[in-house]
Formats: sequence, structure tokens, C-alpha cells
Amino acid sequence: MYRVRAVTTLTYMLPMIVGVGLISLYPILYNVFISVTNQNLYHFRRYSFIGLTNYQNLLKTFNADFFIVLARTFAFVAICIPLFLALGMLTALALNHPAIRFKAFWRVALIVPWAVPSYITALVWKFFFNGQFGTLNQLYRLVAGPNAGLPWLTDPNWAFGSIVLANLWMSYPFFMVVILGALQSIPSELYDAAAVDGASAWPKFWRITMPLLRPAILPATVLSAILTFNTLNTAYLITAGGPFISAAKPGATEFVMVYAFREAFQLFNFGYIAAFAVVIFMMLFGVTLGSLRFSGLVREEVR
Amino acid sequence: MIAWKRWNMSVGAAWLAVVTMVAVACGGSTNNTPTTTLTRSGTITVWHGYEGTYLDSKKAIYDAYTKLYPGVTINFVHKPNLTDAVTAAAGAGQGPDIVAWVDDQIGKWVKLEAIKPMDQFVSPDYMNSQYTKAAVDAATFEGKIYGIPEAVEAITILYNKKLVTSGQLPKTTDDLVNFAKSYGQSHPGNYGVVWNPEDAYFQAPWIYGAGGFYVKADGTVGLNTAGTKAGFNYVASFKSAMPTQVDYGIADTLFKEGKAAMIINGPWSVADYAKAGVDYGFATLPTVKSTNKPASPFVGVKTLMLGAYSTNPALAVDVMKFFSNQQNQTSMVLQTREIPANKLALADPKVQAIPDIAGFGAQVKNGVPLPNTPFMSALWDPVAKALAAVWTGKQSVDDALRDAQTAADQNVAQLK
Repeated sequence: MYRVRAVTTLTYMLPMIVGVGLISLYPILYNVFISVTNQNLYHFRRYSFIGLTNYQNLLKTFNADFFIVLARTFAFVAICIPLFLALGMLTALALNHPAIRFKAFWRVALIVPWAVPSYITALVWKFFFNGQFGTLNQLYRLVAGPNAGLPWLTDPNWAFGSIVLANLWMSYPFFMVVILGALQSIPSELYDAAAVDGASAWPKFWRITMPLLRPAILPATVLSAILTFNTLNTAYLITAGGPFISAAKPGATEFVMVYAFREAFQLFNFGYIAAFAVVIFMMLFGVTLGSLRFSGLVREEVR
Repeated sequence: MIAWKRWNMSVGAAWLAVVTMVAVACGGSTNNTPTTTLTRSGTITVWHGYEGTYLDSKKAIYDAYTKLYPGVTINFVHKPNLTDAVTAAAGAGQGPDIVAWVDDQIGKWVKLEAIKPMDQFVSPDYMNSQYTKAAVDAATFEGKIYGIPEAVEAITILYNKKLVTSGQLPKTTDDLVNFAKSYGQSHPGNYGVVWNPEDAYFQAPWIYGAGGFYVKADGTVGLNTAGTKAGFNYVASFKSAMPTQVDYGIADTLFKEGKAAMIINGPWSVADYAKAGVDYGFATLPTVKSTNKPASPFVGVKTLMLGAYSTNPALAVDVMKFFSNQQNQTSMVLQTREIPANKLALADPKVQAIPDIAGFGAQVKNGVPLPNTPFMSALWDPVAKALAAVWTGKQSVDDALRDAQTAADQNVAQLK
């Protein structure tokens, strides 16, 4: 058997170890460290160890706003992901259909939302949604009369829906690309064989397309769910977390990251928000691990 | 077996290396010994947020300094998110020699140890002999001097001379709201006056004019008070006279396009209005009816501050003094039309003849200093949320301010 000397192995691995250490592990460990200190605006360079006080405060605030923020963020993910999937699937199937012409053009057109920097997209949508001057209400007024207007960003529920809509526009191309790639790798012989057996389009989709797409869709879904959970740009730039119904309650679109951004960079409660981040990290880590195990995608690695 | 053990040890060594690197990376607080004697050589880094016409005329002064003293190099760096950059750099124990920003950050940056006092290099006598009192106060925090003031700014009423005659200008707050309502009725789709009604900075004139306040230096929050409520009620009375969703950008555009007869805005905006072809005039904010006192906007002072990690503070302060001296400020404001903090420059007849300086200057006299206490960072957010809740009709003024007081008190307590 050919044996590799440990030093050789290590030399090859060293850049990776250093990279992972500096880029991934160090910030996480540093964050955990900050979470047990009182670092804030008044104790920025000279902070001290305060044990688990931040975690206690976090649990206290759970009653007031953290629970609301968390529940809203989960609802946001639960609504967004099925929509991303559905639209991504529809556009991918359409692009893959032989009857569609000018495919190259459509592919580029549909991918544009993904290619534009997200803050520009967010600001464009912010303008679309404006009650008085926004494009959407201008169009609506053509139908519903000159004084009509939908409360796109001023009503809490509408604002939530508006952010979902803007986020859908920005995120479905990712699913489209992933699904299109997977679709093109399905051998056409399978469909030919099914056709010989007399299967119509619907059973073909459910029995052949879906099962073969699953390995591509699952990791994309997990990844996208985490990204959606961590939405900051879209919500912060369009509504800044609002509309606000009170200064003592989080706004209707104040998702986890918007809340964290405010606490960290407007109120400078670094210790508190680090504890918050640790809790969120544990939750997301658990969910990710669980879903990957459940889907069987990393079975080999886990064993 | 032996190979395994050796590998294990090597892994241990690798980890040790990683940990050491991390420790070195995060423990980088070096002891800078300040140079007290002034030798005009070295490099000075300036972080600033100047753009447009401001940029060229300010850079010209630094260029003049390096021409005078060839041993000095000045890195004039534009930082798009300057406040975040300064905070982040301070966290890492770094930063520029000079930060050019507005004085409201001073308290926060002192606590974050991003800037340091410069009493060693500049005396109170010098400050008082050169700059207006308001500007000296702005650069002072907890009894120490943290910066050299540059220009003073406050918001005032700008009106479109084609749409409003000087006889229509409001004398009291009631005049203003009545004008806004009647103008909107006689010009459908147009507005008498616009500004951002959901931003704490822009509502300060009405709140402070009515006797209210946001926060004091000791952390006392003044939201749930009669004065602040009166200010909020006044803002809310414009609901029928302004667009339902109006932010800074929309207000700005409406005024540029001639769809708003007046706007409440600051000196930074006038160059754009001139470029857009608006023939604008100035009017001081009206007298608040309930207290019979003038509406009092926040007066901010653009200030050059001394970075906490400057290795050559004597030289940095010398550059600041040169920048803010009478001669340089006079020639600068003749281009930028800012109100100089240097009182000798302000008194110059050529400077006084600029309409913008006279217009904003009249307003500054009625203003209150923009709070430079770090507790102000605990107030912006609750006040903005309360204004939004009132403006969209989600809460009454009383309820909104009661909640905002609770939230702000909690934020202040967390800072203490």
C-alpha cells in the first residue's frame, strides 16, 4: 500500500486549514466570545466578561419583540420558498420545452433579475410600490379611478406581501437555473420509453421529471431558505423594516437581520446582538443539518 | 501507529499556528507615542464624504498645504459610508489622522475611541478667537476639544420664486399649514410645502420650537412631554397637505420639478436646485404659535476631528488649523456657499453678500445645537418609528410618544 507521509498531507492541507480558520472559524468564535461580554457603545475597547447575561436579556426580550421577529421571519421563508420553487419550475419547464423559440433571448431575459445588484433592484421596487408616484398605483389608477391607491408599503400586511413579491422577482432565477440544468441532464430515452407505454404529460412529469430533479432542488432549497431567512437588503432598503405601528414593537417587515442590523449598527449593542446571532446560528445550523440528513444528501459523509 | 501519532502532532501544531495567527490578528493594539513637537514632514490621511463642488474646493486647500510644505503628503480619501468605516476601523484599533464629518458623531466616536482630544495642540483661547461660539461648543465634548470646526449647517425654508411671492411667506406655524392646504386645493397635484415628515432630524424645528426635546446629555429622554407632543401634532396636521408617502428623495424631486412651492432643506441641496433651474429664495422657519418662539432646527457643524490612532497628531492639527484659517475659509465658501464656522471669514463682506449664506445664516441664529451626546444614537430609531406610526395613522400622537419614550429609555439604559 502506498503511504503518504503525514507532513506531506498536512502541507497540502495547510492553506485550506488556514483559510477556513481565518475566514469561517475565527469570526464565529470571535462572535461567541463577544456574546459573553458587555461590549457596546460605552464599553467598546474596554469591555468585560459578563457571563450569560446577554442570553438572559435575550430571553427576556423574547416576550417583547424577539419572538415576533422570529415568527415573522419563519413565515416569510415559508411563503417565499414555495413561490420561488413554483415560478422557477414553471420558467425552467417553459425554457426546456421544444415549442419555445428564441430560447437564448428568453434565458437572458429571465436571468436579468438575478444579475442586477440587489440593492438597485430593491430601490427600483421601492419606487414601484410608492403610494402616490409608484408605477403600480399609477397603473391601478387607470383601472380604478384617479383617487384610488393600494397601500403597498403603508399597510403592515400589504408591505409584507410587497417584500415577498420583490424578493420573488430577485430570487426565482436561481431556481430556474438550477432546475433547467437538472432538466437538461434527464435522458430523453426515459420520456420516449414512457411515451411507448402510453404515459401522458402529467404522469411523465410526476414519475420521471420530479424524482430526477429532487437531488438538484433539495440543496438549492436549503440554501435559498437560509438566504431568505437572512434577508437584509430587500427589506431594509424598501421598508427599513416598516411600516411601524409603534416604536415599542418591531415593524411588519423587521426580519431577523433587519433587527440585528439596527441593534448592532444603530444602537451599538454588540454583546447583546452577538448573543442573538449565536442563537440564530444554532437554529439555522440545526435546521440545515436536519434537512440534509432527512433528504439523505450527505448520508455518506455523515456515516 | 507512529505515523498516526506524528500526524496528530502536526495537526496540533497547525492549529497552534492558526490560533497564533488569529491572536496576532486580533491583538493588534500598538502603543502609539504621540509626537508633540511639530515637524512639517510625514503623511496625513484624511477621511471625508465630500462630493461635487465641495470636493474640489476642499481638496484645493490641502493641495495648498502640501505645496507650502513639500515634506508633507496628504492622502485625501473619500469614504462612501464614512460613519460605518470609522466605527469599524476603531474596532480594529485603526483609523485616519483626520476625520471630516459632522459634530453629532463626536460623543459616539469618543466612546468608541475613534477620535481623541487635542487640547494639547490647541487652546480654548485660540478656538474662541477664530470660530463662532456655536461651532466651538459643537467641537467640545465633556470639556475637551475634539475638532476644528469648518462649516455650519441647518435646515430652512427654500421657496420657488415663480410659485410664491415674498408676501405669502409664513410668519407663524399656522400660516404655513394654511398656506400648504390652500395651495394644494388651488393647484391639484401640487404641494405648498414638502419635507420628510418621518425623519427625526427634519422635525426638530417644530419639537424644539414647541419646547420639547429628544435627549439631554445625562440621558434624560423628552419624548413623552407636552412640547414634543405639540411638535408631533403640528407635523401630523400636514397629512392632508403632503403626499402620503414622502421621503427625502420625493420631496427633493417635487421641489426641483416645480410641483412643490416650498421645501424645508439644508445647504447641501441648493447647488442641485440651482442646476435644476429653480429660482429659489430663503425664508426662516416660522414662529411656533403655541410658544411664540421661532421654530428651532438642529445646527450641525462640519468638523475636522483628530483620529485616535494618528501617529503624528501635532502635524494633523496643524493641517486642520491651516484648513480652517480665515483666508482659506473665505476663498472656500465663496465657491461652496457654506456658512463658515470661522467668524473672521463669516464677517467678510464678500461672504456676507452671498444670498445662501445670508439665508442659512439667519436660520442658524434660531437653531439649537445638534446633540453630540452618544445617547442621541438611542433616539433616532424610536423617534423615526413614532413619526411613521403617526404619519400613517397607525397610532395617535399620545400613544406613539408613550411607546417611543419606553423604547428610547430602554435603549439609553442599555448604553449606560
